[in-house]
Amino acid sequence: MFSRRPGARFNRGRIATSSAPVVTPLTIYGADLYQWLRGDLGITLVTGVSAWADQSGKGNNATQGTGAAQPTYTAADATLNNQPTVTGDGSNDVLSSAALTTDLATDDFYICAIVKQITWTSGDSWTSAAGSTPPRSFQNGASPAMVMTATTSVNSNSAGTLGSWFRMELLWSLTAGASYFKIGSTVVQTGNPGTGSRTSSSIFAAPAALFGNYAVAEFFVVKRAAASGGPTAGERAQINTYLQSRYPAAGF
Amino acid sequence: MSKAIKVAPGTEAQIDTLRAIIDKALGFPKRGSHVGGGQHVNMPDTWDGTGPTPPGWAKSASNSWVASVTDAVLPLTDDLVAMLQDSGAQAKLSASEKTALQTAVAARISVILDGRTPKP
Repeated sequence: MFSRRPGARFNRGRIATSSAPVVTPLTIYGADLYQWLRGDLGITLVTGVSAWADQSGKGNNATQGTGAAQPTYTAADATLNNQPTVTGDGSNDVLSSAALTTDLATDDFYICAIVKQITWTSGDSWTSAAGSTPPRSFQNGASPAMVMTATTSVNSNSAGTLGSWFRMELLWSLTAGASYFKIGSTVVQTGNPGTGSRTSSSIFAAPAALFGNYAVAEFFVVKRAAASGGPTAGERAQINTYLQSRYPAAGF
Repeated sequence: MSKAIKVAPGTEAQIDTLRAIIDKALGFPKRGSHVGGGQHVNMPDTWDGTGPTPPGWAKSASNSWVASVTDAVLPLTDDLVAMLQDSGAQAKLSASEKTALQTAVAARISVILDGRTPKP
């Protein structure tokens, strides 16, 4: 029978390891994180993805109750180091989360996503906060380009490369011209797309049509003031660390 | 602008009937299965198919798209038609339902759905 002598150490000789905290969008943004969708977490499958559960803890799950409109789940996407991804077909796939727009109805917000555009059609939507008229939509433009649009369209005149994964960032101001769109670390457009109404947030499409054909590995939405430029430098550094650990070969 | 998609055209009532036949053949509503780690949506184990669709369930195989009561379409992609022609799906249908389905498949046209409204 063992007995512990005063002053003796258990586990003697075991090598102590550093337990640095795991950095995630939730640890970085805390209560300001309003939606966090990650390809390896929270997937529910019927015909395709019927639900993509929000990992922020706010319950802003993205769902689709119709089989033919459910995006495709790829368990090991060879184009992204075999990470799991979710793909909208560009025909009728869309995931919606109505509660998100209520949560962020009066706040500026910031979106960061790891995405790959598969085919290009001008007008197809990436993500929208849709309402009656006009919806606040982020969509493909001509050229190719990306467009933030509500009362006014702000056209980037550039976009990510078809078939390549990239990090997309979007900061949307509700009040002023401080919105921006980024591809990787480059701000490709700033402007003021206006406010518009918000009743249902969606990814892969605007509410009725304009479906985007692209894949998503990760997508998160944060409440951040546009007037101060969105995320702070410290938050950006931590997000870089997080994305580097999640996608080491991709260089996001 | 979105891509053209193969659809069965008809009146809203005809399309509603066709959608019910397809759901019967494919066994909808269907409960989803959880994949991966992390938090997942809470799904009821059973659902009678009425009222709002619970998270994680799929009520129908396909949405109908309605422009007016006399102008509606139901997407019938080649993949969906292949599932419907499977012997297991066909076994769930009556003779008249099989005939209605075959007629709809034969009458498919390609359209762009922009400007129409999906009917959940």
